[in-house]
Amino acid sequence: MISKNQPATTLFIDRGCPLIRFFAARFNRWVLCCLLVSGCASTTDYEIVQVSDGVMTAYLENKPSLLHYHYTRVLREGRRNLVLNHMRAGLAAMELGEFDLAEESFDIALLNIESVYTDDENAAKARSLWYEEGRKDFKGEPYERAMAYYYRGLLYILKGDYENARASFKGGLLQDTMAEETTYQADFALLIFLEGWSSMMLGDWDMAQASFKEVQKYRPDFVIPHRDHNVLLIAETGNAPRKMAVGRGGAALGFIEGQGSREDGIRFVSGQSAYTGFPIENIFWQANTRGGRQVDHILAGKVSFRETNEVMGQTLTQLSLATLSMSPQFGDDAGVVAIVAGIIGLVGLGQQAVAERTQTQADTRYWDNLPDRVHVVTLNSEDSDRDLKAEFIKPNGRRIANLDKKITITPVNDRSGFAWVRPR
Amino acid sequence: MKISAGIILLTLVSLIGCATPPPYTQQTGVDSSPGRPTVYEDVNTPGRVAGIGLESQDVASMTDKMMGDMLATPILANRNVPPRVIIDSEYFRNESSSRINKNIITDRLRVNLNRASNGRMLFVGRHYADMVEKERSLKRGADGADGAPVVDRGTIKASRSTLGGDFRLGGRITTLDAVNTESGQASRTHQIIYEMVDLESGLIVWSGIYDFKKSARDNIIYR
Repeated sequence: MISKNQPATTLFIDRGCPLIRFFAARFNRWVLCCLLVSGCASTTDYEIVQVSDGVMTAYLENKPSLLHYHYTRVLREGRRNLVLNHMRAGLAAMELGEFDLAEESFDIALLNIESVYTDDENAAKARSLWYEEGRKDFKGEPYERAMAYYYRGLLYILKGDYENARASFKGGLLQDTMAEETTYQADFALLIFLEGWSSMMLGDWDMAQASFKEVQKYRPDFVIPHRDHNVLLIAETGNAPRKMAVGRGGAALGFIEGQGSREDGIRFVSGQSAYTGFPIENIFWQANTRGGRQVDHILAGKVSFRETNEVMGQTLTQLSLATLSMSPQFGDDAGVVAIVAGIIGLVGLGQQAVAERTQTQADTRYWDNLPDRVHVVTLNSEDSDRDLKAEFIKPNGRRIANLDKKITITPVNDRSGFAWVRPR
Repeated sequence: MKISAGIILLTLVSLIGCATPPPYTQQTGVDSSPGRPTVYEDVNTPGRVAGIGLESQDVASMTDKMMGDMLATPILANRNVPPRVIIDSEYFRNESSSRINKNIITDRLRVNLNRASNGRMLFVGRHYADMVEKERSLKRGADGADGAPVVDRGTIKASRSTLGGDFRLGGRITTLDAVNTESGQASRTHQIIYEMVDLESGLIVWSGIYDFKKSARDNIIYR
């Protein structure tokens, strides 16, 4: 009953009022319903860009049909996955021998990797409680960025531009310095070797020697190429390392080695000669030895926030349910008790909702068509035919016949040669 | 029992306010903002997109500085007989960690010098040598039937040979990179040297150096 003698802002509740009992009873049911459905989890879906058929057709027109899947994703997934999709598309284009297209893709990827994100909106959101890390524009982990530089460098080699190739390999190496584990900083032997190879092809023997000696620090079995070597053969084997969200709340980034491949090594056969590839880089190792990331601290904070709210929410909800079930025992005060219990329940639900919506997951998008290992061979062009056979071999040394590939050494600047092969 | 409605409301608002989840717009993972029309930007100023590499304002600044320096060098710009100079990227080397088309530097330098020197230096287009040789062959008949000229001689007096250069530009771009892994701060120092070499004696008659250091730190989310 509302007393007319009281100011309008004050409400007096009569515990015996039928109206209160009426609302309390319904309030109870409503709160109970809320408590029951509070366990429903939300999922994250990212919107795709609506691209008209005309725009898509025009965009795909100059691209081989085998690459349409990748380039369609470039447009549809927009800026958030722009770098990732161009990395994938660029590598797929390289495999098809579409080198100009691959250059375009890697240039776009590197432009974005090299851009410094200071007050970017998506980056800010990715730091907030309510968005998962995957909300940010993808730039990749250091091993992925380094590999983008690696492929761009190879494309420069194919064009005979060893100077920019060397700049690319150096740029990739810089990405590898981001490792938290100091032991593993700038230990990307593949890039150091290629920096040296580029210097060697430019006639900078001293610089090349310095790089090759550095490679030996990380790969003691590595044999420095002879000075008259001018052909570089590169083979990639295995599948890309995968990322996964591990630990409390999935807030830590973990890696697992790429599965599903049988090959472990490479042999290049030219006439009666065979050259076994030196396994210069293990991409999974590079991914896995980076150590912690600075963003992990933010994600750990989110987990802590989530867990606190979860515990408090559950406690309040249980308290609310217990009070609600006991409310009839309060006789005439039952309505008021029910309302108070309901409020406690709502607060509990709210806290659970906050916990539920706190996004703690690490970003697990990954460059999925990367290899697991890279092998290199250097030789003198006079020691080999231009046409070679690449034989992929199992860990036990046996050849996997159905993966044999014929490759041709591409002349570079009329002075050197280059070939790059993957098993599939 | 009397309970103040104000207190209940206040409690509700404050507690539910804490509990109300924030706007949940995770589904918009793409930048659906309208495009931005093309804008002209001054090449002498940092652009909207910047990193720690070599950028347009660096190229503009250093070529302007080198140009002024060369024009103030008597052996190049104040000789009785204007020297023939070759400026291209053939001997301008990139040893840095910045990917760059070196022509953007040497082209800008040559064009600006050519305009500013006002005849005090003459520029030999060695990078066009192939084009010149082809035309000379057509004029002189080496490619024609029975050795006959394919085209006429034009209006410029014929010369027995094309011009040789007196001086040629050489140079080098080098960088020094550093990353602080704790703070994520990355820096790159560029050093670009330019040298004008006497093509008879090998003497370096002029040198210029331009260096700058840039540092940046990416958002923590990328470190």
